[in-house]
Amino acid sequence: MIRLEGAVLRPVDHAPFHVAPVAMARVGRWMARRGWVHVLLLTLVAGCLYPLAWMFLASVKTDEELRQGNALPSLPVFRVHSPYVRPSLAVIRPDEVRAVRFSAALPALRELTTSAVASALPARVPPFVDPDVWAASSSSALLNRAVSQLPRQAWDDTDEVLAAQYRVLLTPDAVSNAVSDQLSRFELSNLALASTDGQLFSLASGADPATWRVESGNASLVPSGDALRLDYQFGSTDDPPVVLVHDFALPDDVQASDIHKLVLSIRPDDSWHRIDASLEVGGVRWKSARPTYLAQNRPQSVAFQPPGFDDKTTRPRTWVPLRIDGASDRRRNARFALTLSPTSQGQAVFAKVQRNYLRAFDSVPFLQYMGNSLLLVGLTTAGSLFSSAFVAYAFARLEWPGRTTALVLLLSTMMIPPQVTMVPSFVVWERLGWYNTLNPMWVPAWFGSAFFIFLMIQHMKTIPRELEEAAKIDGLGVVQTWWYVIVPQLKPTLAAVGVLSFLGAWNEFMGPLIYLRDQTKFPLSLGLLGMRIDHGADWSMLMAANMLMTVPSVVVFFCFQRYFVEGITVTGMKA
Amino acid sequence: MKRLSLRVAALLFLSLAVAVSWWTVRSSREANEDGREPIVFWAGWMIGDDIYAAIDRFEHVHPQYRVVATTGTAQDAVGDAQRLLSAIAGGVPPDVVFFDRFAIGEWASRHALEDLTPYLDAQDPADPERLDLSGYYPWAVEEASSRPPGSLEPRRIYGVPTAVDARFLYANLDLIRQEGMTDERGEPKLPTTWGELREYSNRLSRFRVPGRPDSGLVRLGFAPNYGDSFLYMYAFEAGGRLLSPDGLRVTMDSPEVTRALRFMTDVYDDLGGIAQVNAFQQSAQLGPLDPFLKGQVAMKIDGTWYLETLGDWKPDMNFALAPAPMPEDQLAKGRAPVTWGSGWSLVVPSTSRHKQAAFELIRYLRTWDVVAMLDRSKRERKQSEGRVYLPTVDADRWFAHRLFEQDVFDDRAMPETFRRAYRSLAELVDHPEIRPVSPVGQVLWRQQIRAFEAAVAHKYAAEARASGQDEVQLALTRMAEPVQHQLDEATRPLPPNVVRWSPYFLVYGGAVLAFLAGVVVLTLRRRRSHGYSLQQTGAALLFASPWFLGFAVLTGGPIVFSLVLSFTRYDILTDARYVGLANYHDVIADPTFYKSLLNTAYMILRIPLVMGAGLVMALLLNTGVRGLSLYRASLYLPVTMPLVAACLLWTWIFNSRESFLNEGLRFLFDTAPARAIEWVADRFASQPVRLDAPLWLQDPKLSKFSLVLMNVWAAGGGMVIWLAGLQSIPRQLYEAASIDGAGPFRRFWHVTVPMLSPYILFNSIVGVIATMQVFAEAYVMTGGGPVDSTLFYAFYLFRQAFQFFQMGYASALAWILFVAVLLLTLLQLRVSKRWVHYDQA
Repeated sequence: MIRLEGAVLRPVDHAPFHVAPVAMARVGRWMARRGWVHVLLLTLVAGCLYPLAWMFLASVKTDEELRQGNALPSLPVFRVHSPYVRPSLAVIRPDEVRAVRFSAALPALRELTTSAVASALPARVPPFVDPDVWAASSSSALLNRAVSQLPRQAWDDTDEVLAAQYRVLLTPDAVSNAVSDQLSRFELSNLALASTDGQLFSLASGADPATWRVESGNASLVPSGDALRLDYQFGSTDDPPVVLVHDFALPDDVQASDIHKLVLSIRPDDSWHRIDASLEVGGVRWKSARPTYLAQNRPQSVAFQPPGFDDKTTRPRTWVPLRIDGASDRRRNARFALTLSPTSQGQAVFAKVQRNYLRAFDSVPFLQYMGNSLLLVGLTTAGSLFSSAFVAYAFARLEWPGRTTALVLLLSTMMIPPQVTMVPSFVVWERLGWYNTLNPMWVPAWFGSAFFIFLMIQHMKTIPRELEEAAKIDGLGVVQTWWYVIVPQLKPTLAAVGVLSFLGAWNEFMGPLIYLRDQTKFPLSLGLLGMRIDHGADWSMLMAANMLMTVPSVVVFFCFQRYFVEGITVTGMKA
Repeated sequence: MKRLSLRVAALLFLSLAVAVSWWTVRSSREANEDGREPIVFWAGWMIGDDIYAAIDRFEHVHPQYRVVATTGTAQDAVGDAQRLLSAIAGGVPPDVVFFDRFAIGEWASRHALEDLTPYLDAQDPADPERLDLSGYYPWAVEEASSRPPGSLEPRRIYGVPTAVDARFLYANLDLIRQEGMTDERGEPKLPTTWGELREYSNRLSRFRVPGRPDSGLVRLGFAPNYGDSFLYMYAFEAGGRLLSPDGLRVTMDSPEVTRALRFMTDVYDDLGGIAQVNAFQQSAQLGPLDPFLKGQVAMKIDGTWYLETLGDWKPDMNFALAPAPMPEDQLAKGRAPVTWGSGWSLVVPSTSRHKQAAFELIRYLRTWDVVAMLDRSKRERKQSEGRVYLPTVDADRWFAHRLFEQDVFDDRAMPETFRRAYRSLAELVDHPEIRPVSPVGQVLWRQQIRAFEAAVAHKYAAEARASGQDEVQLALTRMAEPVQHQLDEATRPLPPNVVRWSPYFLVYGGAVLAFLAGVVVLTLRRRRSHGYSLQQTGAALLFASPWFLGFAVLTGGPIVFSLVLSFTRYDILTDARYVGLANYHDVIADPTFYKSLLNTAYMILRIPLVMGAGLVMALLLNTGVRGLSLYRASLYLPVTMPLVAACLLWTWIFNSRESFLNEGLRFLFDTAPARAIEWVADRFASQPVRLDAPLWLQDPKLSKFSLVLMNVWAAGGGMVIWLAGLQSIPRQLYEAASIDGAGPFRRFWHVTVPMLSPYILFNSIVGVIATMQVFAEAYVMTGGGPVDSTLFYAFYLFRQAFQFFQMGYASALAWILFVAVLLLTLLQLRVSKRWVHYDQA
């Protein structure tokens, strides 16, 4: 049912709350009259917004979460103790095994697994860890792993054969891996120093407990395999941090200024507690410029790096920068300290949300891309606004021979696919020496685009002639008339042209692809594509970059929404 | 007051113009502030993060040089060539480029690369940094060297190999064990012959309806061309070659190659056809979504680089790497398993202005210190992400083995599966075959894919039966023809007539001036009759001047230029030469041209869909609903999303099994009504019907529709325009119609639609023009695939121009496009007279 605007824009009566049947009837009437419109519109809106919401959710996930395919990202939980046992896994039935057979066989398999795990648990269990919980969790992981490897035919065989086949899979490696995987813990393995001339010095290896000491805080270091495990406890978020210190002497032929980076290998415990580092060497105290969170459970390394040649390049900033934090009396006898502080629930959530965004910023020169895009967009928009309003005047208002011919030419250029002129235009710009500059992308805007000129012509034609005649009597010249009389009338169309050309320039893709050589000149669109190529599989980071690229254009549209809609309305699109 | 502000405005504008032109002039010059010789280096991302540390050291050792390094942005190896070509044609080529070795033959034959042989020979034998290629894998050096086809002179070296790769069989041992294919010790056993391979493929594959390949694959055992093997792999295994040793004849249809292709075809037939397997093609399913990782593919042949995917996303996977199986008789002859290799190299463009400096940088980058440092930085990068680091294979055999030792064999944390994999890899990478180094390497590559596609789709079955030929051989013969054609052309002397541009410039400039003169003359002569005045014409020319200048230089000129180009052979690097109508002739004979045309025509479908969706939204909004601006804003939001960003988002929505789209569909198909429909359809259909979330972008039948779907999502753009149109319809018309007794539908049909018809016309004209230009979607999301199903016209044109150097051919395509758009628009305008209603305005 189509209703007309004027007819329905009367106020909707807000009746006070009545007895239920009346209210029900009202709701029914409301639904019949206009509720259905809301329902339909809400459905459409949901369809439009869901992909965007999904993009946001993906941008705050870790890659484990992506792989598991959870709809919502998990929330970090405040951990009081470390190490702790990870949750048990649900057992997944292989597709080809019947449910009855599976559930019948499962208890026996579970039994086998549990006994295998029991013998592999260490005699000395870390503090605060319940051995039974650990055993149960490890068994579930091992069971899952082994069940997925069982030969298909074994399920059709007797229980004994199945058990025998299953036992083969419980190798000592598989068992100890499961036991190790299910204990979430913070381990330090190696600390190495790289010098600017490319040498690498190992400062501390994990197996040696003497290399690190706990200076303060409720924690202790325990050797564990070839690493040092840190057992710690935070009663609350206000607890004092744990400080770990490693003292070392600078290698003989290395000066303090030759330090390229310190590489620390750790296995984090997914507690989202934060680490800050400080380094005292060469009379200077360095401090890490941003925290590292103990996220995820897989071994990783963190590089701490004072400013150097890397900062001037476009390489991904995978390191934690160090900055000067005062003087120190230590010169060649250096001191490297790690501060582990508790993270509150809120901080942890915030850290997780911003994680992929920071990675996106670090992995490409994002701000530079953004700057290029803004420059491109600004110049293009300014050019389009000026040229379309300027040129349109010649067609809409002035009488001259050849106008019709020129107008036909103008309109027909709208039909020319850019690919037709791609090759020759390239030659033109190249001759001007503008290859590898942003110019080929924005200079054409100053010459006017046919579509925008057309919009302006349409609008200008609706402006009454009397205004100009009055101006003429006042003694204004043509240019002045245009500027004082015509342009102020064009505001809505100018806004529409502005928004359209902003979006066009922000999206510009093929131009940069052809004309730009240096990465430092890329706008965001091409930079984003580069990111997809260089970090193709890192979807959560890509989605974060996508979000960052989408936000400005959304903001611009919503700031100018009113004018934009008005511009489209006024112009009326009457061909 | 007002006059002053005009002056201020003019002044501001002038100063802006001056500032901008100063800035553009400045930025167009190569910044060379400190007197050092700049070396522009395009390093691929795979070269390692510490390339900058290496460069820093290089600048210390050679203070006379300054290195400007960037990473290339390439869709794939061939895509990067497009940017390199632009840079060379733009006159500011990079000096050192990380380059796909495969393309060297083609580029060298166009004299686009510098011959490095003299530089290598001129080195001081006592120099510790001497670059000695004798320790490199010989096949890699051969691939980086070229000589004209048919020539017997020694090959010249055009590139210094950096990394090599090769192809192997990857097998999921868990699945093989599950299937019971084990040796006497109960360990999974891998196939070694073609026969075994086929048997494994059949046993490991699972269909939706067991035993019915036409019901669709749910698990792929093995498919010959899944991953990275291609016809080359099987041809080499069968002892065949695609090009004769002298490089003059295409031998794609020799008996050995035919046999290889027949084997591939047979295995695909077992699997129910290529369409089923395409559904698994992993082109866009990167990283954690890779089907092999997820156990949806049991075995495949893929490159060395696939190890990295395994290490990144499933280091605990129980897999094995082995030589690809061989034909039984070849093994019986005592041949060792073969594979084919490829890889990367550093090259110097022939137009570089700093060649010696470039060579110094290459030499430096190829020293062990730098190689080890780059390797270490790659390891650190992986470790910083908590991932396993797996070294690439260096082109220097000794370096490669040293890196294997330190990164894999001596690393105690390395899973045993990877150690085993590297042991077989080290052995196999010694003697792979290579694709022929030839000026037509890329065409040959494309055509062998076409031949494969034609054979597995049994495209020539009927024709072969009619003429009594062999179907597979016929496919190969057909596809070999264009390659031979290009090869002959490459070896023939160039067409004699070089294009001279000055007459065209004169004529064109004359035409432009004539138009201007005409305007002035007509003004003077028709002053009385038409009321023109010189003053007004002068003002008009002033106002129109920006557009006029832009039109003359950027539109009119280029159109003439491209028309001339369409009659020439031109590759930007050498002069254009007239070839008459040959380009048009080739276009008409080119099946890809028709394919891309059809693909583009299909996309016309999106115009009514997008318009309809926009109109529905606008109609709903126009009911006077409350919260109009909020609804409008939400519906418009997708339009504001930048196209590249939207493409990336939708790639993922389509590909991810877990995306809400696929999850939602699966949920829907699991409900009782859907099951009922499935059951009923199953009774009547010739093949089993199973409802499942489709493989949007990977299914050639659906890939275009998926792109249309993405467009419909952004239908809010049209909605704004519709809404404006609806709001401008006078109310009286509806009232009059109501009085005449028209219901809502008749009112819609007889009032709304005619009043909106100008908008419909406008939208369809703009829509057709935009559709003819669809490019970014295909470039970003599908790369034209699968099976060319999203190779749109504009994309095909772009490829011809900037990837295959065929500027003349591309110009012919462009002109055909131009004429097509023109005709379509005129047709729409003509037809529109019958249905478009213009009111008094």
